[in-house]
Amino acid sequence: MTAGTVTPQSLAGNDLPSPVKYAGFWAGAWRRFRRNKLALYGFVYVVVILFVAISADWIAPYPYDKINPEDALQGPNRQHLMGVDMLGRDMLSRVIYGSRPMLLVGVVTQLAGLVIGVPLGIVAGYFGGIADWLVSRLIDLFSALPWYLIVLYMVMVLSPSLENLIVALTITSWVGSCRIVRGMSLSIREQDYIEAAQALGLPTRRILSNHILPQVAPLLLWSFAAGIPTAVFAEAGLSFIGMGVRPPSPSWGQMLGAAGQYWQYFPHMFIFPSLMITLSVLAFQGLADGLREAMDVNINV
Amino acid sequence: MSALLEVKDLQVSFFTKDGEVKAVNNISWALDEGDILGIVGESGSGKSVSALTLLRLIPEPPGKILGGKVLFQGQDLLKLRPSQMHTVRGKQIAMIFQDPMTSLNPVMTIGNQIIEAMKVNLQLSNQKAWERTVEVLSRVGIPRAEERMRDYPHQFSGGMRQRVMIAMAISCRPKLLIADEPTTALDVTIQAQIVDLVKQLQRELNMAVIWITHDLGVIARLAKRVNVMYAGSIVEMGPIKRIFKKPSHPYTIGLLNSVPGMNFSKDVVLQFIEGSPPDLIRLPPGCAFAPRCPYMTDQCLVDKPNLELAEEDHWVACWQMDKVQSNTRSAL
Repeated sequence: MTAGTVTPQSLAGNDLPSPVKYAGFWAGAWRRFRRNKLALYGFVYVVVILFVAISADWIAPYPYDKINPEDALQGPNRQHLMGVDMLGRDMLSRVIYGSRPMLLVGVVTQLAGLVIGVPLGIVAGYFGGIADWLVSRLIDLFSALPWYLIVLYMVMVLSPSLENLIVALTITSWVGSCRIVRGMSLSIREQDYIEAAQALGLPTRRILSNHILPQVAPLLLWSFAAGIPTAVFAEAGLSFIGMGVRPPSPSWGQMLGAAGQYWQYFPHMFIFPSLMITLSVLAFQGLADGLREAMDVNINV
Repeated sequence: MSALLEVKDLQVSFFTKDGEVKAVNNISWALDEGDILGIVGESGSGKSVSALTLLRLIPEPPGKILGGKVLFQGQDLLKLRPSQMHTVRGKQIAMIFQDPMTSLNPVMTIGNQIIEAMKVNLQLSNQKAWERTVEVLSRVGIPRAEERMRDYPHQFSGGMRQRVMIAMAISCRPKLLIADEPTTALDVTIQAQIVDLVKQLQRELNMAVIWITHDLGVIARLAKRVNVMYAGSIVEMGPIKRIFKKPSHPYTIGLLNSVPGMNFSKDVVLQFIEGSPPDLIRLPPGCAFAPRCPYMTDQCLVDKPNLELAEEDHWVACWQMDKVQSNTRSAL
């Protein structure tokens, strides 16, 4: 119906157009997300790298630890698209397998961080008082400590391996999400509808899970994605200095470390791993930014 | 008829860094089953706090219930453990709040909010809860209830939201509904609709209602009894007809005179109560209203008057009651 055809008759009676339907939170979020090109790139990259990591066994042209000294240090060519390292291992295969520790560290540390940080933050923000004091001091403590040093010590004590690296990074990864959740539940607690929910006789745990958590969830998705680049960098950095993934298992940081003596003459050895690290960090960062814009819960409220 | 709710010597204070705010001072009143009680008073008179105390919803700290009893069907609610309070809230005593714009969760469909309450309080299945939600929503006058259950609060107007709040409150068939200034945030025409709706529901469901307001007009339309509160105390209490006919406390008279009536003409200057309510941290030793009272005597400044029987079932806390009564005409 165009504006010109609106008459009192067409507005009255039973043939009223049905009211505009709210498309839903997720539809709106997707629409806002799509507008951000970097976020879209990040999303596509993450899907691709996820596929690569899962199907590494099938798409890698060679086993990642197959040593072939005759081919050592070859540049990129038809047989070895990314060249060969100093032990004659195929770089492409190692880069493909290297996506696994990257994703594993990124996702698992953030997930573990959420599992620890969210309950602590909600309880602290909602109940306040002594619980809030305790959690806040914990947050202060862990933000004040130099996390890289803690992680280094932890890995040193636990001996370097992928699992221990994840454990060490989790020790500090809960702080960000915990702080966000605490702040939000602190402000949501003061809303009238929480008082109304209490007056309706809803048990506290239900108020926390059905009224506070859903409001916090979109921000958590963002904080989850935003925390991954830090974890990816940490994994690369620690593997670089030999405190992370141990050879022969490949990791991009470790490959970069191995390129240390060769990079001037065989640049392919550092170009490809650093490219992958850069692209991944950029992708997760873009994804996180896009999510934050898309998830701004106040837009439709 | 036996009393559904009896409040005895209730005392509530808030402990702030400036001192103890005495929000409710030793009030006692009772409510029969199926009755409508109005609580009237200006901001800070303790009317909302005394209502929230019934559900134990005042924030502790800084608030603290210092003493008294709240007997609901003979059971002292102040002695219940917090976990036991959950079975009273919503199911026995429900509440509707002042601002319907903020009292609904903005990110939950209204259907889910009502269903949630019913599932928790009545242990209904999803199917049953859904059906009953449609029923209560239609009952409070939401058209196309089934469709609208999938909508979010921001898709409703203020009056409709208050209807949703009422639907939510009555969904679990409470014996007592507390309405804390439910019409203050609404337009006058919508106010009248909401008042009529609550009155109708009260009759149909035979629930008792406590209606908190500063608007005597609403009370006159709705309530059977009224408590007039000032500075945390009840100053006048009784059946609405007697109080309107023979207001016996200077504060009640002040309230009545400050509302324009139907035959109000522009030549008459609307009267107001001079001064402002006392600081609840430093309450005067005598009558809290004395500094603003035209009948004030020396005794009023020193002794605090207690509620005395002025006539049958009509209680007034004023030393100068006789003089006040002889001076006033009926407000009806």
